[in-house]
Amino acid sequence: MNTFSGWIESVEKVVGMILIAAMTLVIAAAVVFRYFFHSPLFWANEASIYMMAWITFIGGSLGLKYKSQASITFLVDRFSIKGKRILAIVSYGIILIFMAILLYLSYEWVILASDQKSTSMRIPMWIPYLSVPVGLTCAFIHLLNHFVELFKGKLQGGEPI
Amino acid sequence: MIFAVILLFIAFLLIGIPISLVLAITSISYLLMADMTTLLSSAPQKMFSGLDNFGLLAIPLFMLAGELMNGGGITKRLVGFAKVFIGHYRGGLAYVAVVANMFLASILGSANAQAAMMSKVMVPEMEKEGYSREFSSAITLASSIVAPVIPPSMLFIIYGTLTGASIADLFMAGIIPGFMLGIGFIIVIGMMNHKQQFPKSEKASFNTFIKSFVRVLPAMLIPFTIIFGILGGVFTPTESAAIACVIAFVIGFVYRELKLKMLPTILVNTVVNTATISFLIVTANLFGFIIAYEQIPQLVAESMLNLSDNPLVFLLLVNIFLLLIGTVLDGIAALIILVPVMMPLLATYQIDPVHFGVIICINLTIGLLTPPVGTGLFIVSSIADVKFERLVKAIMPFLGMAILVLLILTYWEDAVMWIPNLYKD
Repeated sequence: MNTFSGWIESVEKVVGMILIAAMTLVIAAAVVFRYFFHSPLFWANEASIYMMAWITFIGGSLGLKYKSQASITFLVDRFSIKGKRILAIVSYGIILIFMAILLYLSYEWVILASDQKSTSMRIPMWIPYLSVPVGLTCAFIHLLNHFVELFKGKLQGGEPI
Repeated sequence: MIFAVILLFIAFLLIGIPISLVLAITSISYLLMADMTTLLSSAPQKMFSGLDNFGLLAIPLFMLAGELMNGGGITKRLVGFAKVFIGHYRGGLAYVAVVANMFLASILGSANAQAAMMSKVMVPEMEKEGYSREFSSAITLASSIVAPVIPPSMLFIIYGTLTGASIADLFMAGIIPGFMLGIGFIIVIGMMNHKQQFPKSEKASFNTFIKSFVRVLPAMLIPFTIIFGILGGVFTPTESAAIACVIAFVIGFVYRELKLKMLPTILVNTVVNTATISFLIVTANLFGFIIAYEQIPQLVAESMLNLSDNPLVFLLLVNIFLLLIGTVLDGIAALIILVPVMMPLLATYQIDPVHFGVIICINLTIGLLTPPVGTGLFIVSSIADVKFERLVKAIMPFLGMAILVLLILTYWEDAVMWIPNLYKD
């Protein structure tokens, strides 16, 4: 489980890196083309927004893996080690159940929208839309891994989720 | 039923589930409980559409520019420059902390990032010259809150995309308030200077002066490009951010501090840090839909109007409420959750959305300095190795000044709106 989550993590990192670099270059190039060559790149805005969608869902999944997403901890901090552990197990349980529902909904949504086309590039909309189920699937695996580690006693609980 | 959902929301938050997930989970449970199957199946669409905004792309781009500049060794050059300027006055380095923070704020847009960068450089330097570590950390942290006020600013970008207010206007509106905060902190240091004699550094020779000026000059290209590029209508804030990245990249190599092998880490950091904000925007978009469906904004508006129809009273109440919220909730999360609820009130009270944006962004940034949850306090106390409680005590005078400036700006609309109105005419 741990290795699998780690393997996904490294793929996400590479994809994320490429996307953020590409997005920056596309927007910078759009300025240059419009301002110096007077021929705007008509696809630049749409393409960069779709890249941002992928960055958001992949990065969101990584953020959950690294436990870097903001949460409220002042109450949890007051619990004993055992209490923290129980709270963490409850939290992960709730998150995983709802994550599963959301995953089901998002796969269904992508399949339904599969023949839509984007407005300016005319690419199929499942390309940007797929970021939601893919990102959430990766997040689900990372969270499940944390949950399993928590049971094995490798994670103490009490640290932010 | 909406009360059951609100209770669930609070319970989920308190047991430590990340805020972004709490928003999604509460929304889904609401839709399940209300048995709204059509809306349930459009939930992913609602989430995705939260990202359909070109202005939002400025967030990763300014973050990337900041990361590149961090690798490019900008902080110590800015500190060096501010030092030859004002370091030789009594309490010089304390003033340097404020001024260097203001310079850095014109490149970075996030107070947390800036507090981390500045305290690494500034606190050891000040300690070496005889300042207490608590005071050094406190002044460095306090003045880092100008980061999201002086353009560029993450908070203004988020506020602009949530409300449709012009991000360019918000950037321009932040300039005077940013300077007022800086001057406010300088006044506090000046007053403390009377009571306890702060040390001073040696006066720099004219040669060092020129040298440090030349070293800092390339970095100043970035704020120059952002401000004049937007003012001159050459590009949008998002495009200015992409250009800032290109400049930061080149400068990093000019300074010989950015290495190609640092790039993967920089890029991954940017992706993860971006997503902590944009993933929150995604789930908040779903949540906002439910808030609107239940007509919460209208309810809030009605009860506010029953309380008072005076806009100044309203703003005062908003300020108090947000300062309290800011003590327990992360500022960006608070902004993303609360702004959609408050927006309908602005028209009722005839408050300019740009003025309002500046007020609430400064207010929520002040939350970084307030215990128990001030993230800024945690960051600096761990980097500078100061006890949390002692840092809280040392920051109090600066916190007081920041709140005073906030109140002045709330009631003195012209100070905020002067520059944005200037370039429109």
